[in-house]
Amino acid sequence: MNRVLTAAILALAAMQAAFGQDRADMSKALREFPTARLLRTTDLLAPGTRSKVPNPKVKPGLVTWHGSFDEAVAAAKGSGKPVLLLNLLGNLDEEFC
Amino acid sequence: MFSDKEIASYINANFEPAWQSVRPVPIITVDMGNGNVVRKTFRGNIGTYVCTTDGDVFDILPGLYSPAQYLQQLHQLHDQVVALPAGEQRLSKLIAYHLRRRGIAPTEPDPSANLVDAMDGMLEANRTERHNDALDLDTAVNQTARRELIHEKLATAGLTTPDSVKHWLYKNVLHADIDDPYLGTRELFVGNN
Repeated sequence: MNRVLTAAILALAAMQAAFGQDRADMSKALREFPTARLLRTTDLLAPGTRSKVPNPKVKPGLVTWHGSFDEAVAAAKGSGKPVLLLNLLGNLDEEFC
Repeated sequence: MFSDKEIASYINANFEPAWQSVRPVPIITVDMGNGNVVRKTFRGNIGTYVCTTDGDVFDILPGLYSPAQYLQQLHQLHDQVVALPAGEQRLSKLIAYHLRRRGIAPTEPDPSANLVDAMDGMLEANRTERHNDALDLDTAVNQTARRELIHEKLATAGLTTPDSVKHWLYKNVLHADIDDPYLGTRELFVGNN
């Protein structure tokens, strides 16, 4: 029991130090402890958690991109130029990528 | 980066370029409740593969670079890949290229240790030089610890395609496991429980 109490006090002290708040605000800070609580209670694989954030289309820079890696390789065989492939998370023709 | 005129012109003139998404990018949205919304990508990263005309990987630039360094690296890699012989000699020259550049490889490379050491060194150098540009720091890490991992990998992988190494690249070099729905961040936020 004493161990549990000590652990709780230490945890509260750590939270207080982390948030720089008075003890009176700690309960609210604990409830709002941000990403950890959210992820702990959220199953990212569940269909209900999926939503699409608006991501407007943009011009993918000034490079003249081929439509796919295979197209670029086919073009390279004709031009003799090496292939440059950019891998990325998201899409280069969207604002957030 | 690809809106930079000099970089775009060089790529258009010297490469056959394509881009490919490896997975959707996480986007963090903070609704401030007063009509203001802050939106930002999270853990997004890129890999630039320079490939032969057959589509075999010659070398990879991991992550983001400063525009000047990116252009310089593209120049170097272009000149080296076009000098690569065709036929039976290609594989041995490719392996020799990566072996030369990886330096003295540790017997049991520890990617995270390499990265942490490099980051410590770079951060110290940064403090000393009062050089606080995060992109330059990222460039420096990409050019040291991360490139070394790539040279080690490609020295043993031989002729390979981007698709064959992209999962390894994102998980082990860029620290964003694209096969993980949490993108490798679950432990960062919630620990092991």
